[in-house]
Amino acid sequence: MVGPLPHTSDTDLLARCRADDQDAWRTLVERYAALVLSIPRRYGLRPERAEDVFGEVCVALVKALPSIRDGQALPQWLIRTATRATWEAARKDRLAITPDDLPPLTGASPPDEMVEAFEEEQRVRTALGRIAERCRKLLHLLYFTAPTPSYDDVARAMKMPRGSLGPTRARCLEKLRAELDGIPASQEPS
Amino acid sequence: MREHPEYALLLDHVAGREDPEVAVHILGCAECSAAAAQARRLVEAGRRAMAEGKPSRRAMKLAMQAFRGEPAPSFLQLVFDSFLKPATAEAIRAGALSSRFLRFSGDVTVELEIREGGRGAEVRGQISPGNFAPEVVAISGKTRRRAKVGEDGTFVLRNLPRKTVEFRIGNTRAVTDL
Repeated sequence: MVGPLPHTSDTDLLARCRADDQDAWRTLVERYAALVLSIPRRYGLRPERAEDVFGEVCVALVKALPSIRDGQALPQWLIRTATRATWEAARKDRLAITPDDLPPLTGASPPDEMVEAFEEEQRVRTALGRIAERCRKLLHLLYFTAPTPSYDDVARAMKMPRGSLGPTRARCLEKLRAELDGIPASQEPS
Repeated sequence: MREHPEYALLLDHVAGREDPEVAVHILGCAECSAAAAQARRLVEAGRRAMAEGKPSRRAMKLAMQAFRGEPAPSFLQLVFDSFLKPATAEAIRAGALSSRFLRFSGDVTVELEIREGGRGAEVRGQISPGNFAPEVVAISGKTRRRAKVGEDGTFVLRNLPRKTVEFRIGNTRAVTDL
């Protein structure tokens, strides 16, 4: 977890942001920055333009703070707002945005399957952020690195005997699955 | 493989460490086939999730400015653009192919001289006021060049592709073809 208040729930962070708590805002931003930035970047906007979109989403979130009270609605709200801002930016830049692995953006409203894909990514990101650093590194190397490294490479990178990979992997996977199970599905923003 | 493979083996299999026994088992076991599909979704989502690094300092600055209610830095308006005008006689003698004069709102001006360089175009420029921005960034596709701005506002960018280039100078930007 990142930010000055790593164990605070989104709902509590939103409440603290409404009370003008900068640490809560920083935590919220760091928690969701990767999600928000990934949307314009994966739709082909240059890094600076993706940051512009990120800035616009932050401004919109500050304005929406009084109305978003349930943390479970936040991921969907961010995905939809970032998509709208991405679409606007691409339209201004006259960019055609049709990435290979995402449905094309044909308007300001994101397709449902795209929202689900980004929500799933955020669930994994959040769960990985909640487990210990060493477990996170091991699972990252084993499953979330492309091209897939060999067991020997993973053992070397982890500075652990190859024979210890299996039992450690099992423990770390159990923790990851427990965290994933504990993250409720996002709700439609009201 | 008669017994159902454990979840870690399924993840290994779908992550790229293919195991022929697991593959055969999945083909004949609906339960494991569903588990493998779920494992594949996890691996794909995890790979995409981990591909995004930490936000840049600029991104965090924008976020904190938003919270404090400070206006986001807006781009100055380009109010005059000479477009690719022929270089002056003096500039031609010095090797320039063309030159350009840009005036932005707020009385910021940028003069550009475009020359043929060894590996692409070379752009010499001068910004007024000289302390307007510490650096100039030129972006064309995936190519990005940076140049520090001297005390007198001058800068030199080398090896730029002869294509459309966006110049970012402080909170101004201008697009031109080289």
